[in-house]
Amino acid sequence: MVAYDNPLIVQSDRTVLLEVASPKAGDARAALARFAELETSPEHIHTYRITPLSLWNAAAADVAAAEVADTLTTYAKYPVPDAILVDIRDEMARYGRLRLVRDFDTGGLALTSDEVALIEEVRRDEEVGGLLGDRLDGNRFAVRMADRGVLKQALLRIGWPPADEAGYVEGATLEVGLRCQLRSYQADAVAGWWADGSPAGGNGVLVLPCGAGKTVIGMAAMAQTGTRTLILATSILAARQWITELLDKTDLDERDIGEYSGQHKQIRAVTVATYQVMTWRPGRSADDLDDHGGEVTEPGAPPHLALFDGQDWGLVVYDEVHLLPAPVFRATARIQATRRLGLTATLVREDGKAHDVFSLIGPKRYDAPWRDLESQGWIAPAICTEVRAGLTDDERMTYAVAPAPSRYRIAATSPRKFDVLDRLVARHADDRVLVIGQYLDQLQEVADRLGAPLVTGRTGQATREERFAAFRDGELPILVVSKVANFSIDLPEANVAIQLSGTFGSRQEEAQRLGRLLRPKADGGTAHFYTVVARDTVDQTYAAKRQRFLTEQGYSYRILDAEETR
Amino acid sequence: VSVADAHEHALRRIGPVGIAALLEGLPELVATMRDDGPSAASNLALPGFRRADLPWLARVLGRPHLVVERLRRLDRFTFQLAALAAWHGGELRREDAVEAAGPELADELEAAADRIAGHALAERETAWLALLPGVAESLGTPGIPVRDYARQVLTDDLAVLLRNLGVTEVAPRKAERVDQLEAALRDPALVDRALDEVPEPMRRLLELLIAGGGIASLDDVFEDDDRLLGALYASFPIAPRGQRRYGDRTPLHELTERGLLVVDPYADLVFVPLDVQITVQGGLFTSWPVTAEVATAPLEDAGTGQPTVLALLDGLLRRLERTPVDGLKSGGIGVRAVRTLAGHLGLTPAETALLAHLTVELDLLGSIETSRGTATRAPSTIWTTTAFADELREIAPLRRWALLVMAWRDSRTLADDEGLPERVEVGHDETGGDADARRALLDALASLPEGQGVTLDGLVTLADHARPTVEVATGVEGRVAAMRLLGLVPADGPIGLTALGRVLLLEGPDAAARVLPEPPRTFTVQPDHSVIAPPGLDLDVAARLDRYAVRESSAGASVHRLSGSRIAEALDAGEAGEDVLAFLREHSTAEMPQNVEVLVRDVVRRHGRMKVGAAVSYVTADDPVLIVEALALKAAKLRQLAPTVAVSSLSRGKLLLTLAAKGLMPVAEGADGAAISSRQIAEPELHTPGPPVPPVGGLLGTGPPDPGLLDLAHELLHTSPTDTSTSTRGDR
Repeated sequence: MVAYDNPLIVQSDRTVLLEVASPKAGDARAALARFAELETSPEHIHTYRITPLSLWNAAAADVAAAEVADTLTTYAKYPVPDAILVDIRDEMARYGRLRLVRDFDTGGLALTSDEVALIEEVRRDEEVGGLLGDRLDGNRFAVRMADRGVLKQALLRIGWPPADEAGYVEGATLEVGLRCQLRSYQADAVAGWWADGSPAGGNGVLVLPCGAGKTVIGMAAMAQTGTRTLILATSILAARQWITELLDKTDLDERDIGEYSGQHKQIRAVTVATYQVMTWRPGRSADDLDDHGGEVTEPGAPPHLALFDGQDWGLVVYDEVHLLPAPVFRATARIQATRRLGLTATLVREDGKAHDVFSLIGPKRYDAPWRDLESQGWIAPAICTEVRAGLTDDERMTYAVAPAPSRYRIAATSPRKFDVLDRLVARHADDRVLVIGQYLDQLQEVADRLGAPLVTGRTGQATREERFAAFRDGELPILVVSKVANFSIDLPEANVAIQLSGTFGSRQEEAQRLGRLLRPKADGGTAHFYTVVARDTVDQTYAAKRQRFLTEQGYSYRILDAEETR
Repeated sequence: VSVADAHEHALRRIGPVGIAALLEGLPELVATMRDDGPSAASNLALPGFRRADLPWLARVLGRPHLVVERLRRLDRFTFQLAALAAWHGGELRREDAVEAAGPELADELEAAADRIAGHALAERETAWLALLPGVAESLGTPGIPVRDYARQVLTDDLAVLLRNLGVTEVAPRKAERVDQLEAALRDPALVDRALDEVPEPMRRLLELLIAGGGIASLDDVFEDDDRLLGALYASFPIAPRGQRRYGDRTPLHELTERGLLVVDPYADLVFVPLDVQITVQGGLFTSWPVTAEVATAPLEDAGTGQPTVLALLDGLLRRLERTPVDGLKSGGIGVRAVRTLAGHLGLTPAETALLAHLTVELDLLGSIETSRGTATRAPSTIWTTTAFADELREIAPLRRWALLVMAWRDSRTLADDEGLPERVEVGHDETGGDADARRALLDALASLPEGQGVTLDGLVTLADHARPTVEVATGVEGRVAAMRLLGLVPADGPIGLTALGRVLLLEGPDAAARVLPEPPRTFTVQPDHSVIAPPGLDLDVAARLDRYAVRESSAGASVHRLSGSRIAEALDAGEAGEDVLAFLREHSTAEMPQNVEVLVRDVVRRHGRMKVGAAVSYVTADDPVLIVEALALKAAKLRQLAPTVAVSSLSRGKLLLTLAAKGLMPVAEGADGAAISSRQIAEPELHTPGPPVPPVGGLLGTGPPDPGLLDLAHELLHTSPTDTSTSTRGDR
C-alpha cells in the first residue's frame, strides 16, 4: 500500500529520505530528528541515516523504540521493511543494560549491570577490561574517574553503550542573567542539550549555521547551568568577540570574565581561552600563539591544559568544536564529570574524527537545516555562484607541465581571475565585499589592485581589529582577508564574498566562509558568495567538491562563465 | 521387456505434453537432441550420428544417471512411494501403499503415483504402480537388506541364526536358509520374541541405532571401549572364515546371534538389517509428510515492481561493450576486474561476479584473444559483449529476466557451493554448480503461500522436502543472495517469492508482464547531482538513468549520482548532450538545477577534444607511394592517418593476406617493431554459439509447456501438434 501523501521513504540500508515539499514534512522532520542523523539536505529530498549511535542517543533521551517505529510507519510512503523495525528495537534495547554509576564507598565510579553474563562479556574485551578495576561485588567493577570518557568510548565501540548515571560535578555557582530574548530555535537547541538537567543531558553538540547566534546559545547554556564556565575559542580575536558579547548580552561585568591567551592569563568565573594557548608547549614562540594552529609535535603534555583542572568549572563550551585539537580531545576525556557544550556550523571534520567529537563532547543534540532558518528570516538568504575563468594558452602550458603539487597554486592564483574579480566588485559597488584567498602574494596583489586593506595572520592584532571595525562601520566597503577570517569573525554587514583560492576542497572552510555572510542584513537583502575558479584545472575539481557540499546543505548553486559576469 | 522398450512405452503413454514437461528439466539433453548446443554431436563430428528419435530418447532416459536425475526431482512424499514400490520388488499394490501411508492419504498417493509415471519412472497399466526396469536399482534402499549379507554367511551359521530366532525346521540348502532368515526377520512375531529375549540395554541400543538411520561407525557407537570393540570384531557371524576368533561373550552377542545386528569389521560399521528396521518400525517409513511444516512470516516487500537486476544487467553489458576487461590467463574474469566493475555498478564484487557469470552463460559476453600465446605463455584475452547483447535489448524485459533466472537456475559451471563467487570462472568443471539444489530452493519457495517467507533454516527444511535426495543446506546462503539480486525474493527479510517472481516461476514471463503495475517514470534531480528514483522505476527509464548516473544505493528507492564520466560514455555511444538534458528534464519532478545543466554542457564541451580510434592493424612504409597503393585496395579497409601510416579495421592476419594477394609483399610487425613470422599471427575470434531463446511458460514446469519442446515431442511421437488427446502433464 503506497501512501503518496507521506513524506518519508524508509530504505533497507537504514537511510530515510524526506520529501520536503510534502505537507507533512515539518512534522516528520521534527520526529525523525530525535533518532536519525541528517546527512544531506539538498533542495527537494533530505537524507537521514539511522545509526546505532543515533538510536542509542535517542534511547538516552528517553525515546522509546515504539515511538521510533511509530514515526517511521506513520510518515512512510511505502511499507517500512520489518528488518529495520526489528533492528531498531534490538539496538535501542542495548542502551542502558550497562550503567556507569557513582561508587560512594570508593569515591570513584562503577560499571554495573543486572546481567552478570553481559558484564562478564564486556570485561573480556581487551580495551574495556583494561579500564575496569577491582570487582566490587558480583556485578560491579570499579572505574577510575579519569577513565570515564575512554571507557564510554570503548563500550560504544563494542556496541554496548552504557547509561552514564554518574552525573556531573555542579561546579562553583555563578548566576548569569541574559539580556536578550532567545529565538525559538535557540531555545529548542538549549533545551535539547540541557534535557531537563538530567544526567542524559548536559553534554553534546549543537549544529547551527553561522549567523544563527551560536554565541547566544552558549550564553543561554551558561544561564541554564548557573556555574563557572570555561569557553574555548579558535583565536584571540574570536575570544575577544565572546567577551564583548558576554558583556553586551549578559549581566556579567569585566570582573567576571577573563581572557586566557598568549597575551593574558586571566582566570575568572568565566574564562575564555583559545585552542592555541591550550595546546601550546614550551619551546614554541609566544608569537606563534593565537595566529597559527599548526600541528604540535613536541613531546609532553601542553602545560595550559591544566586550566581544565582545579578551577571548579561546571561547564566547558567548545566553540567551533569541529576544530578541536587532539590534546584538547584527550583532556576532555578526563573531564566527563563536567557539563560540555560543543558549538559548530558544520560537523564535517576533514580528518574524519567527527565520531570522536560525539563520543567525548557528546551527541549531536540539535541540527537545523540552514535553509529552514533562512526561510524563517533568521539568517540571510545566500546565492552561491561559481565563476569559471579560462587560463591563457601560456598559463595552460605552464599548468600542464608543472609537477602535481604545484598545479593547484598555479590554477588558483591565475591572473585571469582578476578580470572576473574587477567585474564582480564593480557589480557590487554598493555592497560590503570580502575578498578571501589562501595565498598571501595573490591577496597582496588583489589588495593593491582594489586599493583595499588586507588582513592576514601577519597583520597585528590592533590593526586587524581596527580594519574589521572600519568594515563593520561602513568606512571600508572592501576587505581582503586570508584564512584568518574563516572563523568566528563577526562581520555582520558583509553581504558579498569573493573567494579566489582556498584550502583545496575543504568543505568546512567553505561553510565557514559562507557563514561570514549569513548574519541577517538590516535591509533583509541577499548575500552573494562567489567562487572564482580556473576552468579545466584541479581548481575546478576542488570547486566541484565544495559545490556538492553546499548543494547538499540546500543552497542553490549557479555556475557562470567568466564572460557572463560582463 | 528391455529398459529401452519400457521407456519408449512410458514415453508414448505420457504423450507430447508429458514428454515436453520431462524435457524441460533436461536442457543439455534437449540441446543434444536439437543438435544445436556447443557439445552437439554434429559439432563434435561424432561418427554415425543421426538426429535423435524416440527410441534414442528412450534408450538415453533408461541410463542410470538420467534415471537418478529424474528421481532427484521427486518430493519426499513421492520419493517415499517410489522407494516403497522398490521395496516391494518394483510393483506396488494400492492396498500396500495405503496400508503403509494411511487411508487418509489415499488421494495424495494416487497423485504421487501419477507424478512418478509422469517422470517416465513407472507405468500404471500392468499394476497400480510398476517401476520401469532399472528404476528400483537406481532408487537403492534406505538400508542394507538381510538378504545381501546373509549370502555371505556360512550355511551352518545361518542355521544357528535361524534356531536362535525360534525357527525349528531349518532348510537344508543355503539359498533356502537365506529365504528363511529373510522371512523370519520380516515376521513381527518372531522379531518381537527375539527382542524379548535380549537384555534391556541391548534393546535400547537397537532402538537408538534404528532411530539414527540403522547404521553407524563402530567408533561412534562404542566410543573407546576397546574390550567391547575387540569382542565385536570377533563377533559371530560376519568374521571371515579362518579368522574367526571367539572371544568373551558380551551382551551384544544377544543381538548379533539373532541376526538383529550385524558387524562389518572391514568397514568398521555396525548396522541393523533393513528388514529388521522395517519390522521394528512397522513400515519402511515412520511418517509420510505431504508437506513440510515451517513457520512463515509476511514478506517485507511484496515485490510487484520491475526487477532492478535488469537495469544492472544493462549497465554491465554497456560497460563491457565500451570498456572490455582483461581476461585471466586461466580463462574467465579475475577478482580485480570484477571489483572495478562492481564499483561501477554499485554492487558487491560477489553480486557482480554472479551477474557477469550469467551473462557468460547466456553468451552475451565472449572473450577475444588479443595476442597469441607461446609454449610458455598463455594467450592474452579481453572480455566484451557479443552480438547477442544487442539482440537481448530487443527482447521484452520480463523475458530477459526469465533468461537470467534460467541461466542461474540451470548453471552447471557456477561454483556457488561456498557462497557467491568473487570472480568469473569459465571452463570450470561441472561439479562446481548444483543446479538441482537451486531448483529445490525454487520448488520450496513456490510451495509457500503468496506473500509469505521463511527463515534460511525454514527454507532448507522446505527444500529438503521438495527434493529429499538433493543436498540443499550447503551453499544456501549464497543461493539466497543470488535470488535476492535476481529479484526473485525481496532484498531483505524473510525469504519468499516476490509477487512478480512467483508469476514468473509458475506462469512465465508473459503472464508476469501482464500483472506488472504501471511503473513510475519520474525521479527527482537535485542540485547536488543526486537523482532520487522511487521503487520500481520503469526499466527503460532506469536503464537510461544508469547510463548517466552512478547508482549509489538501491535499498527500495534508488539514489543515483550524475557523473561526468558516465555522461561522457553516453556521448561516446552516440548520444547528444541535448538528449541527456531532455531526458532528465522530461522525467524530473523538479526543475532542472542550473548547475546540473552546466555539468552536462561542460562534459559536451570537453568531450572529444582528444580522439582515440580502434585500429585493428596498421600499415606503415617509408615510401608514401606504397601507402597510396595500399589505400587503393578497398578490401584492405585502410584509412590514412599520415603520409606513411594508414590503419585498417581488418585483423593483422587478414590485412597481410589482402595486401599479399595484390603482390605488395608486406611483413608482419611485432609490438617492438621487429618483423615476425606470419605463423605467429593469431586471428581474433569471437565465440558465438547462438542467441538465447527466451522462455514462455512457467520456469518451474508449470503452466503451458514450452512450444518448442512440445513441437519436439510431437516430432518424436510422429503426432500432429493439434493432437493432445493422449497428453498428460504428470510431473506436478
